[in-house]
Amino acid sequence: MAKAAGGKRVVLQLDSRVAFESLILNRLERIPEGRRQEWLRGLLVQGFRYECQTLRVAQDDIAPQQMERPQGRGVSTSKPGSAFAAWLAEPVSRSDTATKTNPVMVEEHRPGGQGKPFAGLRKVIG
Amino acid sequence: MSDSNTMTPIQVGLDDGYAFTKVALPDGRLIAIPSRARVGKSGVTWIHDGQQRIFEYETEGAMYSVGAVDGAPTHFEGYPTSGMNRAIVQHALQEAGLAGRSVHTVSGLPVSAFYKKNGEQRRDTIEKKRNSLKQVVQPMMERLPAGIAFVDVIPEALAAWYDYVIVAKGDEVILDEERLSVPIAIVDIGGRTTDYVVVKDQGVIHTSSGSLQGGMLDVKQSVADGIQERFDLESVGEQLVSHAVDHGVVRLHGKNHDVADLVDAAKRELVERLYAETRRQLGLGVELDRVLFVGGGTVALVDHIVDWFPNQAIAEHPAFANARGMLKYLQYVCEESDVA
Repeated sequence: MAKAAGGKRVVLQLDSRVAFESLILNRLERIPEGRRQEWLRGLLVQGFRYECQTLRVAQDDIAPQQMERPQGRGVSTSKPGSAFAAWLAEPVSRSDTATKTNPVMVEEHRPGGQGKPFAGLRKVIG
Repeated sequence: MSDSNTMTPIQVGLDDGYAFTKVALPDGRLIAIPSRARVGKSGVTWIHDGQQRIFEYETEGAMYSVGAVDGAPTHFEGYPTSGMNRAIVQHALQEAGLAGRSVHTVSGLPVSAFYKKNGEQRRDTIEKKRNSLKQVVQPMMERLPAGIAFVDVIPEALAAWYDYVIVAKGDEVILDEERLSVPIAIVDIGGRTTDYVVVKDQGVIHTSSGSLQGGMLDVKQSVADGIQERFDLESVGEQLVSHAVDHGVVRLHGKNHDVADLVDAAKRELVERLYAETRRQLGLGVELDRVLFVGGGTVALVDHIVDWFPNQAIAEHPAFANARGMLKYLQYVCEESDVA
């Protein structure tokens, strides 16, 4: 992968056992080598833009919910209405590598065994 | 089935619910039998083997009759690891044509039986279920048992999520990127329990996941009570009640009686409980991309649940969504089966 002039190189390791990371690696392999750097940069910028939008939407949504709550419901009014809504109020975790639009180098990591194609989805169970 | 096939383990998705036991096979076949059995021999001699409707199985020294019997209730706490469960599972595998085959399977437990409230797995319960299914069950007719050589256990409603995100398109199997990336709730209306699972960012949101002790067997019990009261009966057979729930008619003393009002009232009572619990677990579902209804209860209650969420959907053949997901989990996710 060529080094971007004036840029800063970021090394990122993707794990093919994780479903989404595996999909990214598969897509990357199908792109001609000369265009991979540009594709990855676009992906990163787009991802960061999406994260910014998600944060804004989350903040916009939560604030009115707190204000519109009926009176007399006690001290728990700062929490979202349903148990499910709680995750939305949690801080959005941010990856350090996603805070700058620098070129990214992807190093594929494949475990020794062949395994199942979507073995990464096992982690969903916990 | 040829002898050479019997040496290769066959992969099976096994959703052994309290009301029905469902089997999904790699060739696309889906098989369901009522989870209906009782302890002891059937006491029936069949003149033609082809017409046999009750089958006997032995496990751990106890005999069980499975099939067209008045079944003992399955809705007791230890059912998933009981001899009765094993006999019914063996019967389902026999019905699937797997006599004499070695079977690799993934089965399930209700969400609240699989996870503690804090999201930790109940490892003892899971292990108990695994070991139970591996125990030998001997058919008492001239058939070889299907032998379960490998079992993994996953939460029941989560199996339906695997079914939803792993998609078979012709010969190709793909992960649906869009479905994988959005928050989804699964509502699994079963026999004894209704399970809720919310998956976001490939993780289970435990604060919104769990089980309600309520399902289609409650409808059956209410209808049984109603029939007993209305017709002044001391007891009423389980098959008679099942027929009444399915058709709204009960046949007593050679005459049909309309009990559709009893069935409808029982369903409405269950629906109200389900609606309240669903709202408690999922709120209005605005943060969810999709609320997916699965389970046998979804089919029975479809008229009552059509407008709960604007973004809801009903899985294809919802009663088999868990079994299909368990099979997909075994085929494409679970690596332990490779070394079994």
